[in-house]
Amino acid sequence: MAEIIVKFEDKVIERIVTEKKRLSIGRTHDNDIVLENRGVSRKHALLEFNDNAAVIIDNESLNGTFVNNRKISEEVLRPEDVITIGKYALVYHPEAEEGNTGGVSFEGTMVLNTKKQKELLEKDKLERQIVAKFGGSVLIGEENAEFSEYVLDRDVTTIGKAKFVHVRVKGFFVAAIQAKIVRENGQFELVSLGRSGKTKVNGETVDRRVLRNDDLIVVGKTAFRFIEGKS
Amino acid sequence: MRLAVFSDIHGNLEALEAVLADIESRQIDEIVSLGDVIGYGCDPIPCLELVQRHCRFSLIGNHEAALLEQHTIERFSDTARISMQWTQNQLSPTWVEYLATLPEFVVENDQTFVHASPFEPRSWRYILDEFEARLGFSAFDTALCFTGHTHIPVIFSESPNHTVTGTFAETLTPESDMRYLISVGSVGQPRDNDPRACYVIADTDDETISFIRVVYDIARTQSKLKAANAPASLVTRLEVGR
Repeated sequence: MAEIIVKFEDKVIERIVTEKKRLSIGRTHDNDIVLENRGVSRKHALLEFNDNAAVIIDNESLNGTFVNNRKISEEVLRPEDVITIGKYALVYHPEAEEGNTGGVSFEGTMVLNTKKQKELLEKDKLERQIVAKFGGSVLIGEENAEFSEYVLDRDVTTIGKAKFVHVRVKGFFVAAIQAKIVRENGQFELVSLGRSGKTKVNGETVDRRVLRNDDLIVVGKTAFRFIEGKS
Repeated sequence: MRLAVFSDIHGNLEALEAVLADIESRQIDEIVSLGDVIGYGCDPIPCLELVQRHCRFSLIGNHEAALLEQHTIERFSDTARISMQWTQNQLSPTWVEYLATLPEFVVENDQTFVHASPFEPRSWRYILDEFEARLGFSAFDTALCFTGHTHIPVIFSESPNHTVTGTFAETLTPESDMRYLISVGSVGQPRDNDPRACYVIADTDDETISFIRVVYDIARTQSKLKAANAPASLVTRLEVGR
C-alpha cells in the first residue's frame, strides 16, 4: 500500500494510505487529494500506481508539478521523492507503515503566494540550462567549494582534502579521501569512506545514499548541490 | 566525536579524579592517555587503575620505561629518582608486567599519539621550541599529533611550505592544509605557571581543539606527599605550577 504525506510549508497536514490505482490531485473537492490553494489548478495532476511503480502526471497545470524541485510532465517516482505543487509538498512512500490513516485536518489560513512558485520555476530553468550546457549530472559548488559547477562525467568521483582527489573540500578532520560518488545504472550514489559524521546529505550523516535532484551534500566544511541530468 | 587526551598524571590521584569528573560532564566519546601515569606522586596504583578503566589506551612514558629499564633511572634528576624508587616499591610484579605491554606510538584516523617527541621517541626529547617541533614534524605523517612530556600546553603548526610556528590558544580551529603538533600539558604536575590540571578535547564535529583547565584539591595532594617524606620541591611546585 502506497503512502503519501502531504505537507504545507514543512508542516504535515495529511497522511494518505491508499490501495487505489489512481489518485487525482487538485483544488476542487471532487479530487482524491484536495490542495486548497489558488496556485493549484482544479485538476492539477494524477498519481497512478502500477504493480511496482508510481507515476505522477501533470495535467498541463498552470503553475506546474515538480519532483525533487525539477519541473516534470510525467515522472516515475522513487521512494521518498518529493512532489511540489504550489506551496504543498507530497512525499511518496511505496510501503505504508501500519497505523491510522489520518483524516483531513487543514490548519490555518492559506495565503496565495506565487513567490515560491516563481522561484521554483526560475531555479528549475537555471538547472535545466546547466544540465543542457554540461550534458549530464552536475555538482553545483556552494559554501567553500572550489568550483561553481563540476560535471559528474566519470564512474567514480573522489571527494576529500588530498591534493589528488577530483573534488577538494575544506575541513581539518576530513579524510584525504572522505567520500566518492559512484555512477551505476544511471544513478549516482554517494559513499562515505573517511571519518564518520563528515559526509552528509540534506543535514543527515550517511554511509551511502543514492542522490536525488537538489540534494545538498556537505563533506567536511564544503557544500554542493546535486543536479540530476536526465539520461 | 569528542576525544579527550591527557598526559603526565604522575600519580596525582586528586588531579586525575577532577579531570575525569570534568570529562564526565562534557559528553566525551573516548579518552586516551599519553603516558607517565606514575612517578612523583603518591598514588601510582589508583591512577593506573583509573586509566585502565577509562582510557581506550595509555602509552608508555619515560617514567614507565625507567621502571622497566633500571639503568635509565640513574639519568633522572634527584627528585625524580627518589620518587621513582619509591614508586617502584609500591608496584607488584603484575603491574610491572602491565607497564611492559604499553605501546610507544599509536597512529589512527589521521592522528598520531606519542608521549614525547615523535622524533626518536625513546630519547624522550622535549618539544619546547620550534627547532625541536620541526624535528617532531619530520617524524610523523598524519595531520595531527598529540604529545605530552613537557608538562606545558602549546600548539605547534606546520604550514604547507614547512614553516613551523609555536603558539598558544585556549581553542584552536585547525586549518585544512596545516599540520599540528599539540602538547597537551599535564594532569598531575603542570609547569606553565598555572597549577590547575590540564587536558585537551578534540571535537571532530565542531572542528576544534580546546585546552581545558581543572581546579583540584592541591592541598590534599601536598599533605599526602609530605606524609610520604617526598622532597620539598615536589610539594611546593604543585601550588605554583612549575
